[in-house]
Amino acid sequence: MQVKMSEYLIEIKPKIKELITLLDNEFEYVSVLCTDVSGTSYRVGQRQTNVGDYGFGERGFVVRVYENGSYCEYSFNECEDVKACAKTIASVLKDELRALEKLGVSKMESPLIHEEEITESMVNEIEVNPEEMSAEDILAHLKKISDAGAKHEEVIEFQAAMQFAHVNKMFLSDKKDLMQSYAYAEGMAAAIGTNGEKTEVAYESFSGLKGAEILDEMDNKVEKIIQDLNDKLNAEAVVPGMYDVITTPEVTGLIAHEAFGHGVEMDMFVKERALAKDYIGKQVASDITSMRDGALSASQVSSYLFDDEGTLGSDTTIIDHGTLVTGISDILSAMRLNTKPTGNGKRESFERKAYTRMTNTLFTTGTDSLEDMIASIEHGYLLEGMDSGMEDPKHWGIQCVVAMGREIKDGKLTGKVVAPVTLTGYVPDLLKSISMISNDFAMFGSGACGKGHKEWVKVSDGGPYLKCKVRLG
Amino acid sequence: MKKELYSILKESKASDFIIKEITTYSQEAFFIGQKLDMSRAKEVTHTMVTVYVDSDDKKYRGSATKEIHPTYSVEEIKKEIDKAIFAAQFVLNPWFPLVADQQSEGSDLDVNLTEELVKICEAMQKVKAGKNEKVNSYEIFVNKKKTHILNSQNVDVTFYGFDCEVEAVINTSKEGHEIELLKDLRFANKKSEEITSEIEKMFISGEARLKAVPTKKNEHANVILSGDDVVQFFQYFTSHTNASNQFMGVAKAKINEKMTGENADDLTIELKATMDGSTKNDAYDMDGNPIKDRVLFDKGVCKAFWGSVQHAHYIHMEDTTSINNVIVHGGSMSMDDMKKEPYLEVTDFSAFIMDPISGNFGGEIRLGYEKDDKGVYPIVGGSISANFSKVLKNMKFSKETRQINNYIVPCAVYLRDVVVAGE
Repeated sequence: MQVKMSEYLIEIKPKIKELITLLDNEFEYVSVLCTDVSGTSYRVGQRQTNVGDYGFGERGFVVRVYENGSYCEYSFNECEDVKACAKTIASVLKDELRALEKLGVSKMESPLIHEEEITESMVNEIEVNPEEMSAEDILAHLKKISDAGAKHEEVIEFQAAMQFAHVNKMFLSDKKDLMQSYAYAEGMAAAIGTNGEKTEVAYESFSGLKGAEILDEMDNKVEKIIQDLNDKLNAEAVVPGMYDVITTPEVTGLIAHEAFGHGVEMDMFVKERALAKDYIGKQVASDITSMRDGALSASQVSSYLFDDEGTLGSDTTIIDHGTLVTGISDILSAMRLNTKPTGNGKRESFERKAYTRMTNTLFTTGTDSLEDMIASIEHGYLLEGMDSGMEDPKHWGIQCVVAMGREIKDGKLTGKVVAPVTLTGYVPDLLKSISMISNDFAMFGSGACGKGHKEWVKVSDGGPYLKCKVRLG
Repeated sequence: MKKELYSILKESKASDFIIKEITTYSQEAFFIGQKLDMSRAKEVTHTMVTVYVDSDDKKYRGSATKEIHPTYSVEEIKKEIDKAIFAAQFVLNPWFPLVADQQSEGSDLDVNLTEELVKICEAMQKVKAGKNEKVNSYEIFVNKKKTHILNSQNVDVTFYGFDCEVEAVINTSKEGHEIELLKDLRFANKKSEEITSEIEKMFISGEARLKAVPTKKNEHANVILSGDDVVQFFQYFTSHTNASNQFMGVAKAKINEKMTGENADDLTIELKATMDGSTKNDAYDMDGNPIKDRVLFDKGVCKAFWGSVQHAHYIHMEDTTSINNVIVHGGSMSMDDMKKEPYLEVTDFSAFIMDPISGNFGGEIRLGYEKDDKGVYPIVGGSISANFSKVLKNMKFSKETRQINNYIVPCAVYLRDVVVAGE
């Protein structure tokens, strides 16, 4: 079924156009992003159940204007009287800028945005609309999953959660009239268990441009989660060192995102905070390695028609057979770098500044089979499950915490598990060590990505199994 | 809108309800180097409503929460409240009471956001960078908040808050090799000179990082944690005394028992309703419950838990509080004592990870110092990984303490026999 465009955005459109006309009298450039994102989250455990609002829900506006050689923005979520609203926006932004100018601060060169005339809209499709499904049925389904996991003796708690989002955005300026409406769903099932000595957590996540049909995917994963929990409870610590490893698609995605994705966000090029800027056209990975990012690169939670600055989404080849081709960018960074914006200007919400952000980031598939990859390793690990990661674009350091490593000896899985595993190293060393790539492919879009320690946005990442060499600790 | 919302809720089938409305006024400035990149401002109101539905026998209390946007029509509000009430009846949580009978109007703060923003910009513009040093970029946020909490049990409290954030990145370089360090300062009131000085101190760490050598592998290191992540280390103990974690069966703290071993420093942790300079000085929590002082651990022994009214009721706590500010008392060793023997001190992690459930903690080393028989030298790279079940036996804290926003913590934690991954 087709997702329905927000009636509120359709209704408010003439008012926002009037606001733009009024602000056009004051500023050289005016655009407005209007958002209406709704959804519900459900979480069922053995001890407690929660029904809440979707974490990234929002309804509001952000106005961007060009004033005296600088861009200024005003975020708000009430606008009864358009004339009064325009007056407030103009006076607050001008007063703030004047106060900073009075200090004598220099300003970054900010070229004026020149837009092409464009009117477009997009709506996506899902199978089962969660908004039309009863909360009773959703909670009962999650309870069934929670009960199935909780019956195991070692389990202290088993939680099953699902949330869905209906994203509606409208971008208006003198030349742009863009509207989009899409929906996605996320699921999570997690077991907390103990063997008396250790307590561990094991989980699986689910996501996609889907509706309540995601609940059915969750049903089949309970036994795998319990097996993973037991593997972690019986795991040993890894002996620190360099190892040949195979990354599962989830860990591959984590590497794509943390190791290289953040490093090619081109607002970091403007700030001279990314080493990648000096490596365009140079080899940064092995010949068999290619990487892409874009709203159109995959069908996942960050697939959209236009970004939060009104630039159409694209599919950017970042690494092509080992060579760094380009980065990804928001519109202001692209103008400063004299490149084309790639539709990667994203905001945490209408309340926050837009930065260059990843969308759907992935390594492309190869031709190897997982069996051959395992058979090729003398002593190493199959790395499974994503816990966390941290970027370091300036120094190309990498920190990824993965849930566990399954030992491989003489080309076979031994059944021994190590956990937790921290993967560290120098990004080009890791990428150049990629020697085999499988023909499998999976994307993961649960959770959120921060820039530094804030600015959380929805992204997805993934790819095939990779064989590479990393330091584990 | 609030009046309409209140009367819709009053007339609804909800057994109880709570409205939490926060209005935020902000001014923000973004700099690249010392040049202004963008200025921003905002005025936004968020209203969260939770409806509660009791079972007929009053054994269960279900709830559902929805944001009611200021631009919702009356019909939209009614529809959202009806949906929330419908969902809440299928949530079978044990019954618990809401906070009752709290009234406070609070006093508005006399803060001019533009003046505060300019003051911080001025302080940042005064940062002195040496020949091979530069301010790379920084972001400044000044926020004023008004919070109004209203429930169906006679709670009607309003309080105001003000906080600032400066996220700064600096560079130092040597012979064409440049490194960066990032700092996120959060505060309510800081003198301009203090802001300037805290950023200038980053250059000292930057210079050390330029000289850093790769961390060596060591499976039995004496590790000193001394950066801002010390706060997260001690959050292990606030997590295990949290009423929700106690109720979920994942918390290890027990009243009148120690979590630490006989050879560890005694742990004393106090919760404080207010702390000078902290951004967390609200008089009430988001349930409308007054924030109180409380001793969580006294000389190593757990004395109390903390948490929401709901979870406190579930674990039969008669009185509870949420956390605003935390004081962790100093331990038995001076910083000098900790550095007498060979050690590995980590001042900056790429990201310090602490999982209170498994007890695992650690991260990649972005800057540290190692002392061996040849001397003390800066290190970078590699990682540490440890588990609380092991370090609780003999961990020591520094006598010296320092404030990091809403935490006063020992300047350093001393851990024995920690695994360090390195070259």
